[in-house]
Amino acid sequence: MLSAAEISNAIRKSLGDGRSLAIVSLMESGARQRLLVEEGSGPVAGTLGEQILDEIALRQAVKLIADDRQEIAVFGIGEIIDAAQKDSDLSSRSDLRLLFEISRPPLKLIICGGGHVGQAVAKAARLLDFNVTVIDDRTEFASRDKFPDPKIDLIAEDFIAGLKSFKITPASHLVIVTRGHRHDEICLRQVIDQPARYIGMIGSRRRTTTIRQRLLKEGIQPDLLHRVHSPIGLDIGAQTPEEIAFAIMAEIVLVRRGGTGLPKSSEGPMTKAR
Amino acid sequence: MSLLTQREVYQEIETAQSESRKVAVATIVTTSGSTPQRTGAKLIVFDDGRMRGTVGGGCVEADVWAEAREAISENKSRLCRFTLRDDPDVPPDEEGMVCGGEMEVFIEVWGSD
Repeated sequence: MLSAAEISNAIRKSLGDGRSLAIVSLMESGARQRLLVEEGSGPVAGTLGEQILDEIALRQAVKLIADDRQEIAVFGIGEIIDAAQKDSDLSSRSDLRLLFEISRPPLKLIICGGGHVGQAVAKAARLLDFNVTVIDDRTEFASRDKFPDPKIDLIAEDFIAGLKSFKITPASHLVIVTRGHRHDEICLRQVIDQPARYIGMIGSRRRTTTIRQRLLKEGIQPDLLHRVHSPIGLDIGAQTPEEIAFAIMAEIVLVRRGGTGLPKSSEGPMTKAR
Repeated sequence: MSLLTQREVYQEIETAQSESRKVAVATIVTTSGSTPQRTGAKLIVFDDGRMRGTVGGGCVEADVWAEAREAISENKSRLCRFTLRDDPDVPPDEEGMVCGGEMEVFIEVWGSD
């Protein structure tokens, strides 16, 4: 049986590594059983007392962790048991219920490029409670003049060194909006195989397609390129840096929470957009 | 109203245990209908009756507290079901209805093990 100290240490470690942690409990009056499942690593500690219970819990925990909307869920064992396990003696204990509670690390947003768009994205991201880091190789742009919010971390270094100076985790969201396509591409190459939750790169459709094709030819896995949001942001007709920042942050919310990106109204002025 | 994080909850348990005190952790695990409570909200109740966190206030919080104290004295975890009706402490919602929902609260006892 895991102690409270072991559980709180496991939470601290997982969140510190930028990974979510699911704590699975048996909702029974008997012993306090816990299984801890970490994002990307599977079960890290504890047990629900039986191997088959652990297997069922693990499968469900992985599903819940992958869905950012989930924080807490309760399932009867009958709801999540799969066909292969139906014959086990668990089927006679259909009243057994499992509680899943997911702890998630603080959200991180890394902005490559401290220009007009980068500045607007930083403000919008703070509003949404992201921990924001800005990288620019021009010291006058990675500066407090441009980013007066003291909670925004600034890295004035070349992009590769800047991106290497911290760990990119599943809680990281990357927004690549440097001053030019050459630097955008440098940043994209640096992060393409990292476990970030979101990677977006600014640019016209034609430019971004050229970059994609070049990376494909060089042998970068198509799966890695498919997850890049480029051109970046939702299509809301954004023109100013601030509007572009909203289009980008709206896309990040959509990726995290799910949704269609369409207007909610079925009648009225936005009907055409459906 | 900020909810207790999981880490805060386990740290509180750890502290209580190091002082050889029992503690019960009540978690709202399901809600249905109209309730002001939020699933995942936790109330920690110590064996001297002190508490930390919240399950949303109102009459329900007092009921949960009482159940938690009973669970501590029995040294046994329990699942409680509450029906919320005409709770005078709960303001009507935007449609002018009083809450009439149900919720399940899992109360787990941590001894000084």
